[in-house]
Amino acid sequence: MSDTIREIIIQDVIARLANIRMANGYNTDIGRNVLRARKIISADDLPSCIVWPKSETAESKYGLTVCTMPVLIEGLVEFGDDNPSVISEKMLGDFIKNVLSPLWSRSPDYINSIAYVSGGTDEYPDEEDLTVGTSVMFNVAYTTAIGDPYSHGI
Amino acid sequence: MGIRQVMQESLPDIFDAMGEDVVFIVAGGTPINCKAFIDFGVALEPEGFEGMAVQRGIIIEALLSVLEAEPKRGDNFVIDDITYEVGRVLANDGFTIKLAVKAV
Repeated sequence: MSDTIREIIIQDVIARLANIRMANGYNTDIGRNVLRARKIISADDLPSCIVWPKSETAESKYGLTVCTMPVLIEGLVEFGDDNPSVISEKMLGDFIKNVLSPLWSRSPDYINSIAYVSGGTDEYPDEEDLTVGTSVMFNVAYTTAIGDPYSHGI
Repeated sequence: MGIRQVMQESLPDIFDAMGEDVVFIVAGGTPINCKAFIDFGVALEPEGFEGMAVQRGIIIEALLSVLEAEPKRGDNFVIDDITYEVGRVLANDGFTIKLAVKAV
């Protein structure tokens, strides 16, 4: 069976995040390991980012189902001798630059719009901790045919 | 004789018999040779995120009476040529002190 439009978009986001490498002009390498909804990450997998597709909202409009899917993305990295806040800000900048870039080409493109909703670090590491994280939330809007999440509807 | 007095009298013997050989180093101070327990566990960090990394959590427990000064952030313990830097105090019951440390 084919994937839903939502599933295709999630896979697009995951593929896009893999571009976050210093070799591609970013400030971090958190695209080295892009994981999906995994709670426990091995230290060997750092740096990494984790994609959490969240519960969406939907409404019927003009014969289509218009959906807004929040996508939470978290970056985890060992900060070593660097200041964890500095590293956190670099990750946040990389996420926003990567996901909102007009250079992101998708084929087929099922995403109507992407909006940056929130981002940053609420809890910084304790003195003995080795890892710092940052999170960012995007709202991804897309449409499907009414009653058919597998069809774009347009 | 209460439990605290029993602990006070017996803890030095326990550390001597079962503890690791440790050098406690306070910045600018004289290194102190003593015994301590070191535990290696799993720490899930950072907190506040849905995903967390499995890191090595290290705890050192030492006898306060032989350290001369209460360890604080930035002090070091050396065990088997590995230096562990004190991050924070986890517990202090007046006899022993438990410290979260990381290898540096």
